[in-house]
Amino acid sequence: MMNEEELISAYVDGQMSDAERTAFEARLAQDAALRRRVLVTRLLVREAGKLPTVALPRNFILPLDAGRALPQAERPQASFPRWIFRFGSVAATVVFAALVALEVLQPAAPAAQPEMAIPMSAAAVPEASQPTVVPAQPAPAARDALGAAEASPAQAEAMSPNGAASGSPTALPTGEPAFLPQDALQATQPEATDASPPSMASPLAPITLQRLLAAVALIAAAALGVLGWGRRG
Amino acid sequence: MDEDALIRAAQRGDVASFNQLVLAYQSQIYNVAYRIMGDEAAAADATQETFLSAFAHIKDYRGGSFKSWLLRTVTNACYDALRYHKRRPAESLEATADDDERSLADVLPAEDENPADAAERSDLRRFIARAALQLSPDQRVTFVLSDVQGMSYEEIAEAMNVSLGTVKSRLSRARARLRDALLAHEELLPDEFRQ
Repeated sequence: MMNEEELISAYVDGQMSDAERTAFEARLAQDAALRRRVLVTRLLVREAGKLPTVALPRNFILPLDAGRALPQAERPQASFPRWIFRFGSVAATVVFAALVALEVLQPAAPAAQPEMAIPMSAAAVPEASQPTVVPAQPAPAARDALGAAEASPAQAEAMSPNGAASGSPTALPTGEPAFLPQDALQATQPEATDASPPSMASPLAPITLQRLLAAVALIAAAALGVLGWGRRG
Repeated sequence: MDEDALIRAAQRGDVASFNQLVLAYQSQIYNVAYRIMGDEAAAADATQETFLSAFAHIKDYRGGSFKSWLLRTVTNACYDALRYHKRRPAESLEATADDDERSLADVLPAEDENPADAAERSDLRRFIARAALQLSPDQRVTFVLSDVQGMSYEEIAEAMNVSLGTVKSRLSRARARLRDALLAHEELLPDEFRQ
């Protein structure tokens, strides 16, 4: 329900329905004060629309380097918001940390892989696609060899195939299945099926897929971190 | 180049394209700012702020009336300026006093004219412009966009980001105050309006 001022305004602007206008004009015919208010309101609207246009004091075009001159917070946003880079950096860091943790917790020592393979016969090694559960008999030897990261070839050869002579505290009870990491198994297989002598062990740790991924994650974390936190604009 | 193409280029950071839009709208934007602020320097500041802000946020423009988008920006710039001056009374513009209870009839005529001379010079429009500066910011902006700029209720609602009912309500109250101010200075009215 419009109040009287809203009715006057709507009437002056021609914003009334036919019924509203008829009713309002009936009131106008009987109310001189209301009629005068309507007339002066109409005069006001008409004269306001004739106010002169003010001349511009100057041009308001922006300097061509306006994009650089704007405060950082007001610049148009880049195609990729910073949070994407920041999120990527954090995610890459988490991946890197997870890979490093996995590497540390793994019992396998890649440097010992060539040595551990020597006593193992081809028959003792399952197919490459076989599961990681291996018979208990060869497992202690493999575990001992894997655990002896710095073991010399002679020490490795001294180990008996069934691990009885190893005296290793990691030897598992006979008859129980042993779980061997998949990559350790895979690393042993070529050597186990090949009777050739082991190659000279490198003083550097071999590059495994896990370590390669960790390195990539570290580089990605650093690069995305620079883009996310250090990038201007 | 048409307006849409200029806007798209500006959204890619092309300042030259944006400046063509500035040239097309700067007069209207400045006049709206001038009628709201009542001061050339303040209007120029608000206009400059409008175009800087528009360029900075043009990626947020999602179509519709570009003029309405600019008018919303300039009204926001004027609101900010009015609030700034209101917080600093010593620096405030006399014309931007935001006091709904103040009688418009008290502020006119200007010091350099008496009512009789003003009427004789048909200074009615000047009176209206000065009286409008005593309206509240909301009423003033609505009055300027509607009765000075000739925009429709719908355009004003879009530019001010308010409902149609709010536009009608603010406009009716603004007109009522200005009309009552005119009636209080009957000598400014044409003869046929005098009692």
